[in-house]
Amino acid sequence: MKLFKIGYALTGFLLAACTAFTGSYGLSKTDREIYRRALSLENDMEKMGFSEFSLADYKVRFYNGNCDYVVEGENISKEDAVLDVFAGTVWEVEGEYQVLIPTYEKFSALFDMLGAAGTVSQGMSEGTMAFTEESYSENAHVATIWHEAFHAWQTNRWQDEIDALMKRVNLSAEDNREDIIVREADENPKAAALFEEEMVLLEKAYEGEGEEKKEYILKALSLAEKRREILPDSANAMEFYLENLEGSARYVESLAYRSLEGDKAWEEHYMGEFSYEKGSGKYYQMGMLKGLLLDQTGEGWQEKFSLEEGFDGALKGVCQEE
Amino acid sequence: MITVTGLSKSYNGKKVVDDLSFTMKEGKLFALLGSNGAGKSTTIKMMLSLVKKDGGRIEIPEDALLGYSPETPYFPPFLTGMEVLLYYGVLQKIPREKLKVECGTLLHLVGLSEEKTKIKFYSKGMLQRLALAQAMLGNPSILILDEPCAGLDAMGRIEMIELIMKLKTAGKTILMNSHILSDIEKVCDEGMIMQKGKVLRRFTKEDLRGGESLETIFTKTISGGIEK
Amino acid sequence: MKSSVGIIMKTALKERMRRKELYIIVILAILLLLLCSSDVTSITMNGEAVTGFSNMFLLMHTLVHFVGCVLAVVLSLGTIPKEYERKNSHLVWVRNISQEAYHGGLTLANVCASLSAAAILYLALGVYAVTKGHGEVLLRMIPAFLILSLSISFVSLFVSVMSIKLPVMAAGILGVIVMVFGVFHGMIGLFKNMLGGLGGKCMSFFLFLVPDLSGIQNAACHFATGEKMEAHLIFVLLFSLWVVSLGLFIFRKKEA
Repeated sequence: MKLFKIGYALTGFLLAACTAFTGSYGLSKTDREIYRRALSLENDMEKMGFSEFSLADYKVRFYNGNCDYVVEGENISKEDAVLDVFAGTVWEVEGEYQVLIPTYEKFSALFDMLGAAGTVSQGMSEGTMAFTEESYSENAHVATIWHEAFHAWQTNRWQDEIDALMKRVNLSAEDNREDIIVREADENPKAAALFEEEMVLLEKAYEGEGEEKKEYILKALSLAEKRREILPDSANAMEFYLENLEGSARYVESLAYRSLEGDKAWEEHYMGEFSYEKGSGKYYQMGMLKGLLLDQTGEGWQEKFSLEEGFDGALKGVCQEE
Repeated sequence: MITVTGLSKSYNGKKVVDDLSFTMKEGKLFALLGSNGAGKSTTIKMMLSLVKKDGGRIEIPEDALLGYSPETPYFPPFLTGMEVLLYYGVLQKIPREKLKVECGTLLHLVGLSEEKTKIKFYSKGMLQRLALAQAMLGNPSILILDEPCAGLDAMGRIEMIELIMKLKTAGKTILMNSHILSDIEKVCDEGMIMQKGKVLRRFTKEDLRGGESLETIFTKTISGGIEK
Repeated sequence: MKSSVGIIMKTALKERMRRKELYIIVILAILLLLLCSSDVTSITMNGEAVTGFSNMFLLMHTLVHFVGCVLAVVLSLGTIPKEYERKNSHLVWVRNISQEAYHGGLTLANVCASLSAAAILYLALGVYAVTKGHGEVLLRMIPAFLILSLSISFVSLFVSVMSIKLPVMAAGILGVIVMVFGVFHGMIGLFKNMLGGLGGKCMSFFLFLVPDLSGIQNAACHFATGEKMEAHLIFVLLFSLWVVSLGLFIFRKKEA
């Protein structure tokens, strides 16, 4: 019996040692690699032309569910989590804006779960049962870092303008933006129809060339104007915010993804068939598409891009130039 | 010889065995009598360490082997009598070479040797006999029998009592607990009557030879109260 | 002690074999097989019908794991309490069999029964693979099952150990809670972060205590399909098994 007890204790000790030895501590290799890959795109992304926008200017906080691993260049430090939530976002820490992003493992799992749940619920309402296996890749995570870094850049540059925009229409930081969009824009059938039409025209513009392209853009812009006339100020402000801030960030994100994955994968991931969905997601796509159209029509638009005119103003300017 | 001194046990503040003392002489049959809830089974269980005692001492010779036959034995219904004995024999660490022979002998002794029947088809009497057989595995010097005749018909009881007599004659020290006074009267050498955890009266074979039946002694004692 | 544990386990297993439970499990396995081999085109994944092998294998593997864990709870719950209820324990205790040996033997029987049930379900998965012309996974499925069996064993062991001290219902509820936290570890981990506050903290605590059984399921599935697998999770589970098995020595009955 004594031998048995000794053997038993030794087994436990051995298993504990193996567990400790095989565990990973600190920021995982995958996340370090993701960060390194994100940084390696600096030169490519600099060519975009957004003035003084550089990922290296912002610390990236990887949140693993318990704490943050703060990465800046070669340095990694462990800190208390600043935000106990799974989201890619920008957060002010000690006076500076930092990129906050879940670790790849967590984000990937969340993405799969929400994607599958969303697809299942949608499928079930259609009388079928569907799953999505589209998994969230490491390069998608790299692109997300660039998306959030761009938000940090926007916040540094335009925070006052954003605050003024919201104040003008009596919106505050506590207002639920998703609610406003769904209630005031999505549940207005005419506005929804105009949005869809505008997207179709923009897609045609993207495929078109020369004068045809400009014609489609101008038609789309006039539909956008019609929408603004029938929507309340709060909805317009929210749409402007989402299209220009989130849309431009999506544009940056898509370029980062394209650098890593190539044109074909980029097209599959970002340029899929548009379908109208309630909520803010569609504005990301519209804003990105307008950014791509500006790439096609107006060189160096990024340098001049501002919150005063936004994408629509920039496109109008380009189309009316000649 | 087994000596029990000052044994006590309480459940939820209620004393079920209260300062119990008795001695079992070697080669004799000691009977435990009393109404339901007198503390007989608890006393037995404390002696077997199936239940933790609250106080007192139980002195059993170190080298003595105890055999126990429970009141309502449960055996796996899919086994045969032989398989049951083999099971308990292995648990008891009886060497395998000896075990099968011993099991056969015991089954023969209790009158079950022809049975290849599974336990689920056993009658109450057969179960009791098998319980006694497993109690005798390893040839224990001390047997503790809890209601060995419970549920048996008249013939079954006669056979069981004869068996117990044989065991006593063979020199086993036996502690027996039973409600059937006439059976006890036939086999016991001494005993005690309990009520509410206390000893009301002790008796010997001589007391029974003196003219009064055990039934009379029992009835008088139970209505009379605690031992003075 | 070895022979005592062995015979207690053997007898308890024999009793299991004679009960109807095994037939129910075989029927479950056959149902699973029938479900997968039918052309159910109303289920799609990535736009293609989920009769495609890789999709179905993944689904079935997850299902087998979940059902296996549920069966482990059911099969392990009543064994030890029943022994004491029937007072079978009296005839074991009087023979100076230690409680560790007695409970250990019964627990091993529970684990074996649970693994046998899981093996029958896993066999259905293997039959499916062969009928779909993917017999090549069969060889890998054997070690994959060994990995999966760690998860099933953990659930069975935990419930058995808890049933030593707790009433049957309490042990069952606790077993189900642990099983749910283990099997849906990843999903709950994500949910707790969305929840935040005290609820999130409680969930974090439970997630810390309960090993990641969903991770083990994934590891087994990855191994079966020839993908990479993490060793750390396996060591965590082995260590958890060791920790839970300490309960056999710590939890003791006061009376037989």
